[in-house]
Amino acid sequence: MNYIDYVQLNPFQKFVYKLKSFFMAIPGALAGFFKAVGKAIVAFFVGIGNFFKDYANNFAVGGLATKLSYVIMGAGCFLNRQIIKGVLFLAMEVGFIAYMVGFGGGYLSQFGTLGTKEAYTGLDDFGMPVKVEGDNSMLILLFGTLTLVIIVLFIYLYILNIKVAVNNEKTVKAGNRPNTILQDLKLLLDEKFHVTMLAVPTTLISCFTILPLIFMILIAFTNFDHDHQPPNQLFKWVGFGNFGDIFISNQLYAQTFGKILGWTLIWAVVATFSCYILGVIVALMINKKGLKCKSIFRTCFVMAVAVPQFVTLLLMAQMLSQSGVVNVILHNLGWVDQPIKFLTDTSNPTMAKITIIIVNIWIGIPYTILSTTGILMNIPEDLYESARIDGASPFVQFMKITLPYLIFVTTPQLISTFVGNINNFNVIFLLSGGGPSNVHMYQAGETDLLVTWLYKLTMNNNDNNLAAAIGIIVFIICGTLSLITFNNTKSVKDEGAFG
Amino acid sequence: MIKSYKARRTVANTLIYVILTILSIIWILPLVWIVMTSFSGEEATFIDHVIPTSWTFDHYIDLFTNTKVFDYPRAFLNTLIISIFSCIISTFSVLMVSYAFSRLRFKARKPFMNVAMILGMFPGFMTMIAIYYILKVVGLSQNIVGLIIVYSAGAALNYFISKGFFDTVPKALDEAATIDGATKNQIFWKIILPMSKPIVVYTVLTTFIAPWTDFILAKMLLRDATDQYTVALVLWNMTDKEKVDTFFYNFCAGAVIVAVPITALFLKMQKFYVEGITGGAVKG
Amino acid sequence: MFSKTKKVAGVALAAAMVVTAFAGCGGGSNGSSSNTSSGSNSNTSASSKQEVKAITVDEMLKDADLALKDEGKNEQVSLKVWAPSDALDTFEEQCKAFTDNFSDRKIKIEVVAQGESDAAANVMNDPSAAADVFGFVSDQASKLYPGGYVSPVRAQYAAAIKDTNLQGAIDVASNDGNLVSFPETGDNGYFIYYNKSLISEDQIKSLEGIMKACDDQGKNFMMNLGNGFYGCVIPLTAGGTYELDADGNQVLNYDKDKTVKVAKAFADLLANDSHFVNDDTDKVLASQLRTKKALAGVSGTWKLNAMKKALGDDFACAKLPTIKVDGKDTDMISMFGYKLIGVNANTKYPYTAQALAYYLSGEKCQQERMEKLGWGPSITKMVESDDVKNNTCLKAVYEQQAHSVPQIGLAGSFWDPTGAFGSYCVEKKNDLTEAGLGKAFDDMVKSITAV
Repeated sequence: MNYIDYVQLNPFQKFVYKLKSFFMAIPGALAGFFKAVGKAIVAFFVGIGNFFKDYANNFAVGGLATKLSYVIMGAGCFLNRQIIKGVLFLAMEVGFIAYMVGFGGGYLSQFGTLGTKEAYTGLDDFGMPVKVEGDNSMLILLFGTLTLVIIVLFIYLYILNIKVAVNNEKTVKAGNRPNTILQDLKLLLDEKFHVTMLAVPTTLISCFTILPLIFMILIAFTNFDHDHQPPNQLFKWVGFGNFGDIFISNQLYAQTFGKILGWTLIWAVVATFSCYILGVIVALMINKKGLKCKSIFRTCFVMAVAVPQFVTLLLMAQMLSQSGVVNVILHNLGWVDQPIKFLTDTSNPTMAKITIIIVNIWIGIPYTILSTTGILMNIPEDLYESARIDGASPFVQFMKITLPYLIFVTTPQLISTFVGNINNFNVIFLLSGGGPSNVHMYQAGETDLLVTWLYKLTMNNNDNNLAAAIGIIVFIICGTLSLITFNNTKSVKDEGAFG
Repeated sequence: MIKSYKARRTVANTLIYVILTILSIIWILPLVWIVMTSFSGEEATFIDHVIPTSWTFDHYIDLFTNTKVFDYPRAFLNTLIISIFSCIISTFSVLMVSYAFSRLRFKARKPFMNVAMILGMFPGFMTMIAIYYILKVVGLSQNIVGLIIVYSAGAALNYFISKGFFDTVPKALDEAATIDGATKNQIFWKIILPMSKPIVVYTVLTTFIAPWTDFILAKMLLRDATDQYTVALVLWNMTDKEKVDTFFYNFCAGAVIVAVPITALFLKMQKFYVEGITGGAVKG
Repeated sequence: MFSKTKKVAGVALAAAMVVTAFAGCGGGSNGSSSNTSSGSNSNTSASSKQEVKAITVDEMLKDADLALKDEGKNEQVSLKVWAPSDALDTFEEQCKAFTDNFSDRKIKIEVVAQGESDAAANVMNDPSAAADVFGFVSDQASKLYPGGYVSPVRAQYAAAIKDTNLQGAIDVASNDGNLVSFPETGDNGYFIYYNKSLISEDQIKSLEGIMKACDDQGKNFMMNLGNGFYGCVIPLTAGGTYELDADGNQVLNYDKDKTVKVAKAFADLLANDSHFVNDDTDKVLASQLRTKKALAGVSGTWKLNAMKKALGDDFACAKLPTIKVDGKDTDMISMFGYKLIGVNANTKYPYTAQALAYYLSGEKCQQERMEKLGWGPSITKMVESDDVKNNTCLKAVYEQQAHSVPQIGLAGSFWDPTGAFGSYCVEKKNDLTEAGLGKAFDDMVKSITAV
């Protein structure tokens, strides 16, 4: 079915078609995913095989410079008058060895046990309690991870060093002179410009996103909870134990997880689509032809985007509290007798959920207006023209032209909003703090999302292992959803991230 | 026929006016209320009427002079420093990454983009504890320098929108320049960047605002270093349930002080913001 | 602390200290302390327990060598203290007085604002970056003590503290019979703030009287039963107690029939009365008292200044009222907390930190805090002094203390279910028959003890 056919369907058919194609796509997407993973694994091992073949081969056929650079990095550069490059390589090797001996090696050797000596408090000869430090499992894990990352980087550099040596040898054999440092630098501004552009961001992301992420993923496989807190206590590897607890064995965790997951998904769907659809409607109203004062209306809404979100949320939380201004107004109007507990009613948690969704609409609509106004104006006018001639009512026009067009163009944005809502920490944390409390949940309240539960587990209860496991589950949910929808969306197919 | 069409349109328009006016009021009222409350001369915090019976400017003065419990001016300065530096670094970083992904072709491009996308799907809070300890190793935990680095480091992952923008710039420009002997470096600085004003402004705007609105990372990293606190953190602490009773009016005043410049900036730059997201969204 | 050499040196030094330490003092939380000390001279160890001689604060201040040993003689000692933001000035002065006393030592003390009610989480998140000396509320003890985050109190100080402080304060400061923190205040319980021009001293004595005054004048009475700290009044009034078992799980000694009876009394009196407000009193009580919307409410000394400001000349306090259960006036029993000072087990300067904590918990400092901040003392002699008897607020505090259960032996799971039960009892839409309250009681007990 192509776009034209699709547009001609009625809304219900469209919905069915969308739904059908969504579910039809799941097996395909999953199969595609596993195929890709499989391919990647095969490619990885083939790559390793090839590497060792080349590794041995290059050593056998290589000249002195090449052979030497198998032991002394940079030798292939020194012997070919690339002094600066050679010094850099050599410095890397020396630095790496120094790091491993002085710092990383020690941590890496304890990586398997995460430490064996527990800290304790003893007494000195004056009867003063003195802390005797033991191993710190968390630092062992963190620096062990860092060391592993550094080893991988070093292996990459090592291979690069051999490659450079081999290439230099080839160049010399062909009677040319290997690149000087100036020539190399020039390359960085032209053919290899991407290296220049990406070097700093990649380094920063590796240090502050990837490394911490690996660390936290590893924590999901330890028992780093409130009873095993470094530096006073040790923690150790427990395999998939935490996932087992969350899903099955620990009834309280499993029950809490189930409830929170359900609400997280409901929240994400409702929050995403309510803001989207209502926002589009308001945007259409504002952009209606012949309407005056457009900019005044728009400014009113844009103000809500411009004011920092945490300010509006904190404000709303105060306004909606039991003694807040909303209850005061309702009371003064004589509409309510007892104040309404918008966000804290334990016996009626649905109230809090609805309140949060409404506040979220207040926050979300202006974003939709901002992001769709331009697109709305881009819809070809003749589409509407012909629809009008056919006698289509504005509602039909909206359902048949505007919405499909918008969804077609903004699907990627919708997906990222959806993922963003699954991870929407601010709205929940600042508005209700997860409340109202529910006595049947572990460290969580009725409106907690997985992410706010994750926060509470780490910050209030120091259950880092559970938090990390939940983080991984959130990732799997978001990843699966995006994978399926992205692969199934036309507008991303030409330039999708998952190619 | 024409008359009834016209009549119908007038009715429709009137209806839209009414709806939009009501909605605008709903959207603007909380903001009006916070400004009004920040000037309230009431003695009690939680009162049974909406419009204050007396007015005062004291909360603003108090905010800047009574710095013992909450050092608002200090926090304001801290945030300003953070946002200026992180804005500069982040803008370059975002533009460089998105340019590289959009217009340069290299072997690692697809894998890099996939990795960036995967990273975006982990809850951001998950990594904060580890970030704290990494910064601690280099002596930058509990310090605004550490915050600047972390804000800037994460920014590059949000390259999608500006990549979408660069995708729309015609490839022919690059080709023509290459024929004229320009290097890729020159093309980026001299040709593409000057014509990318909307996306540059958009990136500057979003990265500048980010530190003013984030409190959770600041809270995680700064901990008890109260002299390094940011505005968001101070304001958040003011609404703590033990403090809100005493500091609610100061909170309102503090929020107004933050919100006014950001709102003004935003309204002024709105055009670029819209162009930025629209341009980015169309191409994904 | 990340430098390997430093760490190794630290461990070696500490180990050396332990090797020479005398055995049998019971401070070690772990078998290895007795192992290492077995090599030391056993003559001292045999009699050491009896020989611990109490050192008073004054004695400690006079003898720098005894108090600080070598700390600060050559190297600069720098300590961080956490104090609540509204008490920063007082703590800074007291810390300065401490360093002035040891002017020949190089001691630098930095006082940082940090709440006492979340001290445990803040310490546990990174003990090495946390304060060396910090104040905390006694409910944090169940997190701080078992994990060894606070260093046990030096035996000589402990002996003196045990002699001079309220038994309740010593109980909450102890873990397995060892004193592990320094009592700071004896006032962290709640009582009634009221407007004495609106309600008489007589009427404030019973809940029935209070509600009658409220109904007559159309004013509110506020208590935050939805919060476990206050909500536990219902089971405690019925004679309930709580403790932790060896694994740190909550054990509740509640009698269901009695508790349901008390709950019924609360429900009958309050659920249908729109002048009883179950809201966050810490947040709104001061406003309500100021605008005269409320005539009384339950809160604690932590809100003293706000309440004084709100009530002005009409300021008055009283212990919690009685309530008629089975036709008999019964005293409401509350949870009573203490504020404690802990010494971070990871401190680099244990001698100075302990001396400072001891100084801060001493009589002079407690007196200053009582005068400047209105904090009630934990030292028995001071509690019985005229200063307390003439203090409207503290008088109510200590009267209530006689009808209270100390805030110790509580697991994290205690609070939310207790609060939910408290709220349940006073909301008219709920099933408030004995059967309904019994079910709510069972729910509460189940979710507290299920973890």
